Amino acid sequence: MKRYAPLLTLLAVAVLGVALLTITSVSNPANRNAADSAAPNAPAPSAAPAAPERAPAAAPAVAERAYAGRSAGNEVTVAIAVKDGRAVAYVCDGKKIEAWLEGTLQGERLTLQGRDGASIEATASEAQSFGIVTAAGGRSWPFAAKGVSSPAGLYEGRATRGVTARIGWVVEDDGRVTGVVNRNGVTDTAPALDPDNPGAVTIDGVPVAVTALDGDAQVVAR
Amino acid sequence: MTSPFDVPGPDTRTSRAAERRAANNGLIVAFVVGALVAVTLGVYGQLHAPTGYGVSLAGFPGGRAAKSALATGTLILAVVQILSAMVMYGRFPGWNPPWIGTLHRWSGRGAMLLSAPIAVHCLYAFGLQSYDTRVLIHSLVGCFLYGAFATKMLVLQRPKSPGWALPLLGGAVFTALVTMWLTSSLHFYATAA
Repeated sequence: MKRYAPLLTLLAVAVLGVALLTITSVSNPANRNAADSAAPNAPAPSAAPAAPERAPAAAPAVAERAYAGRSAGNEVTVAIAVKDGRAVAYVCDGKKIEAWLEGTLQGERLTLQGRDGASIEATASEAQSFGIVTAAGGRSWPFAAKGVSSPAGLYEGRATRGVTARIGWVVEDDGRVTGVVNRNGVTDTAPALDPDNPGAVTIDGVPVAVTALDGDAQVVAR
Repeated sequence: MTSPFDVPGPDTRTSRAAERRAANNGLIVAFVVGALVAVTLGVYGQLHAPTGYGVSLAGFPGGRAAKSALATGTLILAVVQILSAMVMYGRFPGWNPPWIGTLHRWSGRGAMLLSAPIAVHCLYAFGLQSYDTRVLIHSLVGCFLYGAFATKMLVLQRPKSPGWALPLLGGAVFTALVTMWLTSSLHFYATAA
């Protein structure tokens, strides 16, 4: 037994790994396997890690899609919309933090920028988007966003009553809505949005014009 | 053990050469298996659509805090491993207790077993990711870690490996583990508000 100790150690770790993988896979409620992830990078090398090859300004991996999700510690929600290589995004925490971003999708690489240093660096495929979101002011978090279909996604609202109020909502796949309203630079929690009935939103007694955004929209002031 | 009259005859010479060849073959096999392990993990991570399992519930399952705690435990055991290796190789002159080998082996086993749930979660939820340098390094070195570990176990299994093999492999596994911790747990602890 002792003679085979190293081999048994290796086997023990391998068996544990496979067992855990099986348990995880079986208990996954969605249990979606398969689905194609596009553009593969270089596979992991055995010795010296090599830099992966980047697809040069490539055709976007996804033509048109919306994503909604949150950061790892539930600090912020993120909604992204891509269309033909262009992308827009909204980040908010439902209270004070918000940012509008615009950018591009090249291959699987999603890059967006907003005011005051807000940015998103992510990868995007048909099923999800993973990356890092940085809010204005520099705080950043890793996030995961699922590919979603209407009514989930990214919404913008505008209303004017003296002051123009601009609202952004992130509607997630499970129905949760998180939004922030910006009145002349002052941010606050947004009024509730029912994505199945967007026309019914009011703020300060004034009806809000709500639009579901796609990747083509212009959200950052020129 | 040899005397001047002990000229190695043709039989002894060829059998020693054969022994060396067998040892070299064993070494090659060990490295090839390790490479296959690393590549398999990488390919799995690349092809398996990351489920972000739990992304629809509350962000990430298991919690980065839980994984970081496990990973820090792994790191501590790895440090015990490298220190005990140093003792075994005489780096602490005058001190080489008989139980140091047992400590070395069990701290190593503990570290790798503790790392398994973290690795499975990372691979299953995220796969191989490249959206950020830190994450890319983590993904690649993670594959390398288990390949190096497999090679080290296989080399240990063979009785006659060259003197450089174990320190090299042990050092590689330790370096990989530390890199994994730096690119994940440290980042988590440093950026968690």
